[in-house]
Amino acid sequence: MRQDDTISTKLFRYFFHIRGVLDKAARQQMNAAISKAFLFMWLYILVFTGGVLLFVKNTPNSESWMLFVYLSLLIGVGGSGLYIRRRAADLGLDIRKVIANQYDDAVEDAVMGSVWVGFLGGVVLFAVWMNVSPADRPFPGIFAFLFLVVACVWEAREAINHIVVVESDVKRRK
Amino acid sequence: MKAKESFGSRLLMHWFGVKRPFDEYKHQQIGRIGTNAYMILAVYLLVSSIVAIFVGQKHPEEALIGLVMINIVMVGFVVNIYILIATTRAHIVTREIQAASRQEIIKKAVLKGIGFGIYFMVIMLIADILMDWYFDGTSPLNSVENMGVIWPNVRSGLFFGATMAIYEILTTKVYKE
Repeated sequence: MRQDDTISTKLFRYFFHIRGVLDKAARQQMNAAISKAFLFMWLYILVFTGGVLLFVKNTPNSESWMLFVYLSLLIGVGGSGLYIRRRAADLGLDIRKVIANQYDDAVEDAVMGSVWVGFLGGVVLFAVWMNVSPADRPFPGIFAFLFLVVACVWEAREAINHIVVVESDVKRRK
Repeated sequence: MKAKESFGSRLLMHWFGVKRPFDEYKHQQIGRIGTNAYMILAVYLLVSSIVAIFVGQKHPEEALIGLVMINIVMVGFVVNIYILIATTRAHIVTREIQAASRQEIIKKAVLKGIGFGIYFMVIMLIADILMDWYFDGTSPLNSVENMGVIWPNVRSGLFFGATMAIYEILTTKVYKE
């Protein structure tokens, strides 16, 4: 992450896995895609609420409506996030270009940022998983912990893979 | 030559209530406001879902009612009010007209209000009839003949139509030459 980024830009980067230069034009293109994702999410919450209301008529005391909540996390948050990340990848914003002597710093940045993102995501999933009643949970708690570790490593690996070393301007001119 | 706008882009502009012509500034502002609204909704959806999962294990009924109510408040009020304030501040929902065409604009706004009122009334009436049929087993024919079902929807339609007409008039500004 760049040191001179504002907090909102840093959040924006973490949220949508943007590692490249986020100039005005790129930001506008991303904003257009996110606005579409917003419209989808707004409609999704309306449909979700209607669906839950219709479903609950038959099973008012059951916990089975929670399936809708899991779907909500998967489709609402996961689906729209995936769409935005794909858009960022199309625009080449998920790639960080650095010169050779900046590579180590970029890797350090990538590991630190990704471990945080992976850790937070992993903790959320860990908590949700551990809260599901043991009868419905097919794997033990160690599985959830393992998932947390994998999430951190996966995020860091992805971030490092998206660092590209380019020639510096001085070298290119020679 | 003017580039052709995509359907998604036009839908977005209409949804936010932006008046034509859709220039670059309006696109930029809608992008900014849409991004902020997305952040609000995404964080809300994540947090509310997790809370619902936790609370729902012990108190499923309370968690369900709470989630549905908060969803309606969030989608219907919080996000929409934010968008209304942000678009008004960005001056993208106002239309500038010449003093001569003011009467014509008011007439159009009233007609638009009547249209919106009828549309809203019909939609709400259909929703009411279907809900009565689904939840209470009331026959749709009985509901259609029941004035107790029709009147509240007519009143809602009148209120909605009047609000839309007033909003349309208020967002039209006469520019000084």
